[in-house]
Amino acid sequence: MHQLYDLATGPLLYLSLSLFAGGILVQGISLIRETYTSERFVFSFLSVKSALLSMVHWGTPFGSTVMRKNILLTVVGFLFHIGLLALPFFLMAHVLLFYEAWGLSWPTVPGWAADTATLFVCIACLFFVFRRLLVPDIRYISTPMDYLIPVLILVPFASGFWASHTLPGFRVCHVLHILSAEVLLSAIPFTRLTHMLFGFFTRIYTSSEFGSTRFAKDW
Amino acid sequence: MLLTNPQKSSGTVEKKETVDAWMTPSDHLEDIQVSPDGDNVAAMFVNKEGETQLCVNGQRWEHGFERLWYPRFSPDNRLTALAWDGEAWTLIVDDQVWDSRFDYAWNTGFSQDGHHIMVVFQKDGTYGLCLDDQPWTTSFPGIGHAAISPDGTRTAAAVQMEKISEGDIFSFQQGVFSTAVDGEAWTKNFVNIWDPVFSHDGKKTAAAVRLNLYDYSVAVNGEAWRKCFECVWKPRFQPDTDDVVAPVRKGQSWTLAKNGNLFWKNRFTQLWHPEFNHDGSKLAAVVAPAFGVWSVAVNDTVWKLDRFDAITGLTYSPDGSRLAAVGMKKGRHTLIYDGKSCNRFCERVWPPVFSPDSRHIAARIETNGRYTVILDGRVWDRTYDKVWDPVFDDANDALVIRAFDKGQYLKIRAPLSHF
Amino acid sequence: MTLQQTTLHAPIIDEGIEKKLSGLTPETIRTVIDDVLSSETGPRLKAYLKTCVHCGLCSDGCHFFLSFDRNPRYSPVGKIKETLARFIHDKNRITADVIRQAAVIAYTECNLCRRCVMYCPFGIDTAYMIGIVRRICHRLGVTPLYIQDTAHSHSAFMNQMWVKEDEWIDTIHWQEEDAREEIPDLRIPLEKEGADVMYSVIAPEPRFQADLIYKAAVLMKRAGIDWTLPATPGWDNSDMAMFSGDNEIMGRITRTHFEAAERLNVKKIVMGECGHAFRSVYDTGNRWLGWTFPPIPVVHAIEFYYDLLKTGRIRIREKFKPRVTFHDPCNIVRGKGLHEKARYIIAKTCENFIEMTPNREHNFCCGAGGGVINCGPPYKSKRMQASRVKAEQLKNTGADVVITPCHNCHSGIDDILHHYKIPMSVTFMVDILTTTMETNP
Repeated sequence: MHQLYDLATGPLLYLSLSLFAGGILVQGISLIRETYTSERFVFSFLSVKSALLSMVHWGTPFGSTVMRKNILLTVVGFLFHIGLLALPFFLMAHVLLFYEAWGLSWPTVPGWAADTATLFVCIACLFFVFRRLLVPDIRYISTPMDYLIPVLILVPFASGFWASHTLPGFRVCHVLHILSAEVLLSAIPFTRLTHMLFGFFTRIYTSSEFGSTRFAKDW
Repeated sequence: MLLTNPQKSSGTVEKKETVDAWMTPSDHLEDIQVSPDGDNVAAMFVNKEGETQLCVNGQRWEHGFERLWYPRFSPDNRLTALAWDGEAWTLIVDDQVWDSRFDYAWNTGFSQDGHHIMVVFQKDGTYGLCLDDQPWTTSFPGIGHAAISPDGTRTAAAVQMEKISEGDIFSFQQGVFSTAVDGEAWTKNFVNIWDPVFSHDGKKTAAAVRLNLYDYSVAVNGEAWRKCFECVWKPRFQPDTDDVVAPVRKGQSWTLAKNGNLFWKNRFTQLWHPEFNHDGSKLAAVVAPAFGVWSVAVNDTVWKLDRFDAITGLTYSPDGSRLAAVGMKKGRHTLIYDGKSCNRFCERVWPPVFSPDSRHIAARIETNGRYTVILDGRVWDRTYDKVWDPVFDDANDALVIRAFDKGQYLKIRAPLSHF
Repeated sequence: MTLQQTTLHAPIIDEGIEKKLSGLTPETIRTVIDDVLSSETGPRLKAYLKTCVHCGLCSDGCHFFLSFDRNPRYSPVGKIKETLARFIHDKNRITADVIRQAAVIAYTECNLCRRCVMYCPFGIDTAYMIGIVRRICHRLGVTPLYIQDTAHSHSAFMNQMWVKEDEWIDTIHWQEEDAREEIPDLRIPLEKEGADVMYSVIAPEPRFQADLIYKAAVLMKRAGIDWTLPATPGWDNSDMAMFSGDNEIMGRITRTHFEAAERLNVKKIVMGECGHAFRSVYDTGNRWLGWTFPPIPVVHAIEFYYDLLKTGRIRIREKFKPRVTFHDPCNIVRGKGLHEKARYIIAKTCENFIEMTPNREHNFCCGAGGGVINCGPPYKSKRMQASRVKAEQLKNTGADVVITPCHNCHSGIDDILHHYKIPMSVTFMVDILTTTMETNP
């Protein structure tokens, strides 16, 4: 177990960080380069103003029509994404790791809030899976990977919760937490999780076309 | 801000006609046309009987018609108009009516010297061309893209060879279009024919063709190039060799091909209007080196201009050494020539006109809602309600301004030194 | 209010689709798909495909999906799953049957209205992707017969209805004669070089609705506009090749249109009340040709009317009394944001205006645009089924008249009103304007 822990917090950590950062970097740069070479006209239509305006609407809960039509999904979706992105950085245990590694520290979320958020992320993952299973038009388009991704997210959060509360088997869960988080991190550039990068590109382009060429709202 | 010469001169008014005075109060003015030499001004109007009449320099034409339209002067200063006498259409030339009668006639065209006149006609539901009152002996179910040879002795058009019913996409795709020259069709049909052109001696014709829905080529005298492209535009004959060049699209970009082989090395987002100078030593085209950026390329070298949104009116000087065009930027126009922009932007600029010695460039312009002319970047100090393209006199020392202002036609001789 | 839905009848046999299918081998199909994807698409498509998380939020944007009782097959992403996604992920096993289904989906089950784009959190442009499917179908020769015939007409005569050059000129002369009975000195100037405005229309106007040209001429006369029409090809601004996937003909049409305006050297082009034509000249055809924006400004009729009213060039004599509602055409609202200008015109000309819900950018498509109505009678029954939400939306307004400044919308809504027996008539904005404006300027 110790060996596995050492592996997970050593080479595998660096490998996953490299895959994540490298993958995101390569994908992002290659998309911009390809756009420059094969679809350069895209740059002629980009508008910072329209992109920002659109992002403000889409980044605000219920700021777009579709969000107002899907209240539950909007609430779950926003909280899920906030939890997903914030918890790894503001959890006391993680901030300690940063401090130990680089001497850096910042405010952390209280334990009860972290627990609530973690449980919420876990429930949200299940919500997404059940939504996929139960709503016909979403089930129709779902692939195995679409079901796997919430599981990929669920595992590190659930195991982290388990380990942090020293529940039975917490040592195994701790290692599982680290390993599954590394798998998740590595998967981001290579699965649909890549929307965390490409979503900005598509939003910027579409909102520019809508806002500054077609003078229409896209929210 | 447009520059004008402070040593202003209004030029010499050589002719003045008060068009309003030609008409009675019940006449309704339809159109005013001016001859290339500026000596004749024609007004077309509808009189109180509802008849359309033409009046040249104050003299009403003998013939009045139920309908007249498209009055146009030929390059040799003859006035033509399409006329409907209540039963048939014909052409009237200097008050002489053609013998030919059609169910419809339109699109009057002239040879370069103006000695020959062509119209497109429809008779009994079939179509053809009529040159100097001689209609083609064969007519076709459809016609388009009429062309006249440089010397004006031959005519050609894209023609539909057989009638197909609307919705018969399969017959269409078999190819029912050809090019007819003097009424005689090429031996081969194509899915589409566009823009037939004559060689400089008038002996050959070439056209852009579509062989099926996807393969484009150029056909010369009915024979398609052996190579196909993603798209092609109007071809041109090289004056000295009779080679045919055309803009072609290959690999999603445009370049020029000669006789079916890629000819220019540069690749463009767009390339069209290839034009040879008179001896074939220069070949220029309007090009877009990148998306949204327009320029002119001469012998495969692109002019380094500021960014233009569009370019039109590519024109060679008579000696073929100079080239000018109109550049458009943010809805305003300027002249560009010799690889540089004149940078005098105004609302509208018409295609440039060179002096016979090729030294000067003039153009009709609109500035602040009024019309005038520009010469070598300097604007004439008077503006008018309307002007026609300026004309240089043969001695290269004056510009003839043909203008209309406050109901009067004016022919003004403006010495070049007064600009 | 939910309207009765009729059921589909016998399967649709479209000769334009069927004839070429029999000759297609999986190799031919793969070659064409590969060629289109590798040479005609790029990072945009890649980004859209990688970004889509299959959340299904686009479904509610689609009137097909809503009208067909939330059938998953009609959701935007569902259509991509059955077409482009299969072409990409399963390209070695694409049979003629898959192509048939893809053609039916791409040409007749998506109006390219871009409403779903506003429902996607990432702004994924499904209409663009369906356009790629149409391009592949065109390259394979598998297109519905009626729209293909229209594309042929465009290629041969540069207008969508096989109108010959003399027929166009004759129609203008005839309209001018008719109009002169009302206004003796009215002109419909053909080939007036140097006029301020070139007015362009779509071919159904000279063919079936020549009175619209008459009305435009009356409007121009009253407003004192220096205008002209070309007597050459280029007078028709419509472009069904854009929707059939024949990009090369699309470019040729747009070029012909602008070169007519350049030859006449007008300051701007004013287009009649057509939506798809606006998309072609403002957004699609011009880009294929390399112009970022039209080289000569293009003004849609709505902008033009708005300017005439705003500047006082035309004044309203008496407002239109019946209850009116307004249908926002996709191609000039999501395509140019003209919805507020349209409402300004209505406020000036109509006494009783009722908004339909949803409206503006969120209005439902008429079901006819994007080339769908141009696929012809074989698909009309399905088109009517797909327009159920549109019919409900119209009926719920309780209006007597629906105004829509788009030919396709006009025809599509007319079909809907008849099919669903809604007591409402459909009209163009110019009809309202010419009825209500001052006749003595």
